[in-house]
Amino acid sequence: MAATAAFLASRPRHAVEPTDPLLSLDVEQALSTAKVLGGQGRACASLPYFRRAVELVPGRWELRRDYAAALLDAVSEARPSLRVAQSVTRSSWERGAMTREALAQLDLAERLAPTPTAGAQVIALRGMGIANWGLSWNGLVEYGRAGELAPGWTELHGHGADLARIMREPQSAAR
Amino acid sequence: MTGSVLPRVPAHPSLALAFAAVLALGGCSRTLPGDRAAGFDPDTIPDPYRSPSAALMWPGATRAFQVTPRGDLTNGAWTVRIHPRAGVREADLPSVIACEDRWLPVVRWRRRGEGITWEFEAVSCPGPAPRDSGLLVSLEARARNTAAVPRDARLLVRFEAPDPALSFAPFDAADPGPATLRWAGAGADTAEGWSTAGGSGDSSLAGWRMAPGETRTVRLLLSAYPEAAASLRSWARAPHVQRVGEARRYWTEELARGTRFDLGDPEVERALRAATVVLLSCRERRGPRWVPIGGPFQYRDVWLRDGARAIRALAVCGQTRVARDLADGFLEFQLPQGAFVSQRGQLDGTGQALWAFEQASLRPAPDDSVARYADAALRAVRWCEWQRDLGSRTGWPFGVMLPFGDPRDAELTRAQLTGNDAWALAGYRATERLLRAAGRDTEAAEVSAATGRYRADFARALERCGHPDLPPSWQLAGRDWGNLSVAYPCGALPPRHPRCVGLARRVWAASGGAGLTWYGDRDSLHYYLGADLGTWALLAGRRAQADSVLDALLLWRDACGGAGEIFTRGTHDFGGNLPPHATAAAVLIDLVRNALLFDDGDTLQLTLGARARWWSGSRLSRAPTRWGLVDLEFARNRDEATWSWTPVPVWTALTLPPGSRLARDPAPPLAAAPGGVTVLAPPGTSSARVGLASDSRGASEP
Repeated sequence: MAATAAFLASRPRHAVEPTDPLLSLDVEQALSTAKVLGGQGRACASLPYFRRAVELVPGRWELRRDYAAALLDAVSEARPSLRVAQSVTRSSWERGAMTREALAQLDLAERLAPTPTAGAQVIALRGMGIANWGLSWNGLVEYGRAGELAPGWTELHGHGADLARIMREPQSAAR
Repeated sequence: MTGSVLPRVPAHPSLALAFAAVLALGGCSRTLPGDRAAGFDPDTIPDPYRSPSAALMWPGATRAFQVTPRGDLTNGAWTVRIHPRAGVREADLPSVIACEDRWLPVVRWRRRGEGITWEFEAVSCPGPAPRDSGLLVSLEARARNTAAVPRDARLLVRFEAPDPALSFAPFDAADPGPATLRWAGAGADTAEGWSTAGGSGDSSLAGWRMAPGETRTVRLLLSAYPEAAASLRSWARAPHVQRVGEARRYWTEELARGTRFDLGDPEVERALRAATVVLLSCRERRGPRWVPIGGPFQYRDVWLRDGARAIRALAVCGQTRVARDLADGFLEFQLPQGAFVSQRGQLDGTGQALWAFEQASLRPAPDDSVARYADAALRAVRWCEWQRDLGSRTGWPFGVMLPFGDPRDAELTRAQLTGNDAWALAGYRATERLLRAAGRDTEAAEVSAATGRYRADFARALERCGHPDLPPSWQLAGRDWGNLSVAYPCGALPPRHPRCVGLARRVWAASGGAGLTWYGDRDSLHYYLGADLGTWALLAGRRAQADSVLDALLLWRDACGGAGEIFTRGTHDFGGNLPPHATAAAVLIDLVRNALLFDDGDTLQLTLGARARWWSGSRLSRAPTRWGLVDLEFARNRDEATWSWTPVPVWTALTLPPGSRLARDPAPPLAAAPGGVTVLAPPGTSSARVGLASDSRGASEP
């Protein structure tokens, strides 16, 4: 939660604070709203609902995984209709804090994961998240770890192979 | 003063009944001719750009106002349209929008038309609350009848939605814009501005019939955020002249905390002050921390690559506390893996953050923050080494170098970028120094050994890549960017290395000589991209080329002394890439400071690029170096050069004035360095005097 707290604390005092309807939601309501918002491409807006769900049931690994995924999505979310292309988040300082929070949530989710496949999902998500930031080696290692836990997950192996190919020949598939 | 409350006025109203009503009401202060305090004439300040503009900003504020080429103000969320009119015609647009002495942010511009001269003066102030993120602008508009007959004049000031073509918007701006914009007046509890002319809704109108020579003023307060009307009225009790005085005092005192440069060269001194104002202003708070932002408008974000430059510049111009606060903010950019990243795919951030920690924390002496920086830096170096180790096992062509980056900026390609490795090496060197300062010699030695291996790998990669000088990437793709920093500040190759010489020759040849370089296409001149080559030239003994780069940096400053990022060579148009840019300010400070005092190596180098004019007698006071605060004086008196400086525990290299060489061997303990233009002084020396002869060899700079 530290990242979101830091993000909110960093907002100028002039920013209008929305009223907080979250406290009345149970976990399923919070999760449902979060997923609807996420499905609409509004990852940033979904974060309070995911956070509420995690707070209500802190031991559910998939809630932490989904919250982390939403944080990683929110980092790259653009403001839809402002006349200037702009991120939803204020600056890289907040985006960095959100990424660190996502990684912390994934660490917790990995510890809570009940099966190797669940663990593989979490590790793969971490790999994708940090590879997107440019930490290719970290991403590749995470894909490898996930692949060991879920040897039949072909899509995951494809991600790893693609990343390795780009690392070897970065220009090969350049835009 | 009599305020006039008028209905909303159309954008281009005719001089109809409303105007007549205003004339009848009078309104605003009547002043006698000639009572205006003597001040600078904005139209005498040079501005090389096609469109004049200025920034009204404040440290810690989260919004800024731009004075636009039309003479309006905009914060990106709304625009304050200013319509000065005499007769039926609106006054001409301003030709120059200038800061006092081309540095102090008291901004003036002038508009003329139909016998009325309109003079505008604006200063920014912090918002009303302590630690506020807001900003207020105090603006005075003064109309003067310069005609021989009476004239009708009026000033309409109106809040409007920003121009759709405006290139910036605050991150916290409402979309599509605030529903209401209004002046503080009867009934308004929240407002965006206050005027002596009063206001109704979004408009404020003042008008007068003016006798020849008569002057009238309107005073405005403009808030960057909606503000309590009562608060604005309260702030308005302090007159404009008081706010101007406060701004002058504030900036004079802030700059007095830093190094004092007395070079006998007012333009360079003003440029340094202007650059420092930009860097001090381009900061925001995040909770208890401070972060550097790229600029007050479209670059209101944090980039490690730009922030590191700002931290370095602030550190070397004596703003130690500010530089350290910003470096502290950088600690938040470290990922658990050890890397520092601010933007996706920009892997140069790790080396830049480490370099910034060193720059801020080791000058003029380490403080207790150094242990924290050393810890973070060591984790980052170990992350780099881990990758290099993995890569070395792959057999890939450049596996031992950092992996590919896709910065979506700068080099603008996906490749293993030369600059990422060069910056990593700068980070390694910084880490070693931080560890030594923290008393952790064993770990420092570990990093030193790693640096040696990495340098060797860097050199081998250069041999293997097949490029004649220094490519943007090991795959040879991309635009020149990080590779321009290989020699300085990264120190990945020695300045006189043939590849460094080749790079400068190639880049400058394409740009028409040493100066600004182009980015993307030849018509796009980039202000700071090639600035590192200026210091490279100093270190390579190519003083004339360094001077040429400095000339360009000085030339392409606007009338407030700031500079943008990119503009067109042909039309001098910066388009939507609005000045000032923090990195532009940083590189100017860096180059001037390096020309006077360079301390990045194991020797203190003085007057490396001091210009002939500076040799008339210059003095630097309280210059932070890696060996403490240094005062420096130097002068040339006909056939003699003299220096006096605070002694340091390392050798000092003294470069002779341009166009001179040693007339004879200097008296011990001084010694002539090879080449005849540098004198070496042993540790502890505090003064030197040498005889000069004319250097008939001239500049030997191919």
